[in-house]
Amino acid sequence: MSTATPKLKATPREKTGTKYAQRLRKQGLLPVVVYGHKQDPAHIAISQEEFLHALHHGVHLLEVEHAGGSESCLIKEVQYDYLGTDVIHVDLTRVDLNEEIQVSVPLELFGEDECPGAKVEGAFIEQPFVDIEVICKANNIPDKIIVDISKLELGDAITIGDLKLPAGVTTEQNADDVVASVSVAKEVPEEEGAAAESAEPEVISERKDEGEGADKN
Amino acid sequence: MANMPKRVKFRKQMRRAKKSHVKASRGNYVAFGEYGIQSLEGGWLGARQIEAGRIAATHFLRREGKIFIRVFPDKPISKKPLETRMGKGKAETEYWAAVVRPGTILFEIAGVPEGLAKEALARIAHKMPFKCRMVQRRHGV
Repeated sequence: MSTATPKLKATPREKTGTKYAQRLRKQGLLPVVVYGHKQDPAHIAISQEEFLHALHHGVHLLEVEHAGGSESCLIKEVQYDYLGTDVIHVDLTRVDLNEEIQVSVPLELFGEDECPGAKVEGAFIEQPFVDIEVICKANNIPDKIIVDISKLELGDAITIGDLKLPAGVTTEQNADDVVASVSVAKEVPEEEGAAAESAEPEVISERKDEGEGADKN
Repeated sequence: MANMPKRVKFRKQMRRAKKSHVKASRGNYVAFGEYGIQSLEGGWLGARQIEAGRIAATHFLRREGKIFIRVFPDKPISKKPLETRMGKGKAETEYWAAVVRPGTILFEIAGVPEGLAKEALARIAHKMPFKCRMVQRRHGV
C-alpha cells in the first residue's frame, strides 16, 4: 500500500491550448486537467518535479490543493512526448477515498533465480503482462502484485486466476490469461533470409490478360 | 525470414519526401518486451540492415530471451543500374526498406537481465544507420 498521499499545490490555468501549455512547461510546470464526479473540468498547472517524483514512486492517488480547496485525485492518464522521455500532460479524476476504482498495478516476478524451468538451456521466462488491472478502494491500492515463479517448471504457466491478490482487491481480467511462463525460444534458420531476398512478391493488381494482349498485336 | 512482403498491391512505389523530422506518433513505446532500441533519427531502414541487427543480437544472446522486430520493410526502393541513360521508365526494385521516424522502436528484447539486454541492443545499434538509444518498458497508471 502506498504510505502517504503526496500533496501538490496547483495554480489555475486561465488560457488553454498548445502555445500556453508550452509556456508552462518552460517554467517547470505541467498542464493538468481534473474531471469527474459530475463537476466541471478544472484546468490547472502543477509542479513538474513534484509530479514526476510521485509518478516514479508508483503513486496513483494525489491530493491536489487549489483555490477551491483540496481534493483527492487519481492519475488517469499521463501523456509523453514522442521519445517517451518528458511528461507533457496529465489527466486526473476526482475520487472518493471509499469509492471502488480500477487501476493498473505492476506485476513483480519473485524467485527467478530458483525457478527450475529457467535453468534449462535455451529456456527463458516470458511475461506477457507487466501490469494488471485491479479493482479496489481508492485508499487501498496495492503497490505491486507478486508472482511467485520459484517452482515453475519448463512449459508451465501462471495465470491471473493463480495470483494471490491482497484482501479487498479483485480483478476483472480473464482468469486464463498467462502472466508468466517458461518456454524455449524457437531457433530461426539463417539461410532462409538470403534465399527469400531474390524472390519477388505477388502483385495483387497485376493484369492476368497481359500475355493475350501482346499476342493480338 | 520475413524481409519483404508476400503480396503487394503495386510492384513499385514513389520515393516520397523523406520526412525525417516528423516525429513517430505510433510504435514509439516498448510494447512487447522489457527493453527496446529507439531510433532518434528518421530515414529508410533496409531489410538487410534489419536482418543484420537480428543476427547480431541472436548470436550474442545465444538463444536466450526473445527478440521482437518492430519494423517491417514494406517499401520497395528502386535504383537504375550504373552507366544507364536516363528515362526508359522506373527502374527495378533494388531492396526493401522500412520507413523509420524519430522515436520509432526498432527492436525489443524480453526474458533476459538488463545488462545482457543492454549489450545485445548495443550490438543492434552498431548495425543501424541511425543514432539509437535503449529504452525500458513503462508501467501503466
